[in-house]
Amino acid sequence: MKHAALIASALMLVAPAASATTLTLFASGEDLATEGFTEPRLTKDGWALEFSRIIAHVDQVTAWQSEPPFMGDGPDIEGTALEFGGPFTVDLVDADDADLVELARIDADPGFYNALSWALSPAPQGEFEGFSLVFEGIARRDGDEVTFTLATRDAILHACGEYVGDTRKGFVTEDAGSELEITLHLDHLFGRADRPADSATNLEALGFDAFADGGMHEFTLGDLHVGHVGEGHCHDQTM
Amino acid sequence: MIRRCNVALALVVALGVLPPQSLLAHAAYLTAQEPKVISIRGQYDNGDLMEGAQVLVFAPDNPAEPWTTGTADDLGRFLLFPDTSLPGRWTIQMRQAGHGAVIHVEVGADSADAAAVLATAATGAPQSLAQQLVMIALVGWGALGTALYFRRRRGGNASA
Repeated sequence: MKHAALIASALMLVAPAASATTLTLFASGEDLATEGFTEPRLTKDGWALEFSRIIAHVDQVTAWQSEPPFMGDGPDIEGTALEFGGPFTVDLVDADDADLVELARIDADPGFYNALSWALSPAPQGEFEGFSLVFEGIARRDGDEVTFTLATRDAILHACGEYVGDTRKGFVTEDAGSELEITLHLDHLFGRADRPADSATNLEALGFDAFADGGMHEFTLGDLHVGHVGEGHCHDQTM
Repeated sequence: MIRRCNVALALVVALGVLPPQSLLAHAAYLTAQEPKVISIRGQYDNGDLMEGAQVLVFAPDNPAEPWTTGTADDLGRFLLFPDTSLPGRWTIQMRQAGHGAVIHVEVGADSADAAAVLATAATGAPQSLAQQLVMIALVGWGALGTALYFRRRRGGNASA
């Protein structure tokens, strides 16, 4: 009986540490996905956007411990890899209070996971087969109301450095897990009315006027570089 | 540009005349040592400066929590006075309007040759005109550090 109690105690001591040594992968479209483009953060051409769904299809996700640190300045990351794999289909509107959607949680060795590679790739099947990123919602401006579906077939491979945000993420210890984040910056697509019209983002963003007749439109991500890790940047290239 | 001057000044000032024994408890000694300063500048590749950007500094002994935070000046610059008793990789993040960039600087334990830039950073997609951030680190000892030493904040750094 005493032995059983000791074993149970030992398990209780060991189990939390083992379960905590994990790395969790999240995706986010930030508050522009969950709250939409609202005054004063309208699109660069003055549209308010309310999204019902933003479906992203992500694959080939790998976390890296890179040394020296990978700076997101090229396609190749060197270091110790930890594969999340994929594919993952995620609705960025259906997120938690922090605008995050959990994609996967895997066991991870202690270390600093300071790089992340992932692909935005077309879904091989399902409702949005052939599309990698789909926006559904309602746009409003000056009394006009337009229901839209915007979709792209682009396949883009991302090689990102460390997460940049309110906290520094990616540190897995013996006692605590950590998390990484794939972040899509929607203002790179639609622009921001509250930013200068001649800002680089607004000059390159698509805006919404091109889709103002509503219905289904396909678009290309081009060089808009929507994929990030928090505020940290990624090298991206078409697959 | 990397500026490295192996100059370390130590100045001890004492009164030339010893005070009476009863006043020794009130003797004052000033010690000044020229500190190492690391100047970080953030800018976008279109030339825009990261004016007023938020700066977070992480020391090697606790890389998950900021050692200090601050704000870049109107030229996108931030001056860091690292604690040289914490040798290793220091990480500086600069954030503004949804964009962030990172740079790493190795600080050595040898005070005579305490700092060296082992990595400068350019985070972002190099093909992007809109998003790439460029951060440049300058490391040096000397008059710049001396002049700004007295603006040092608790925690060991000051922004310009």
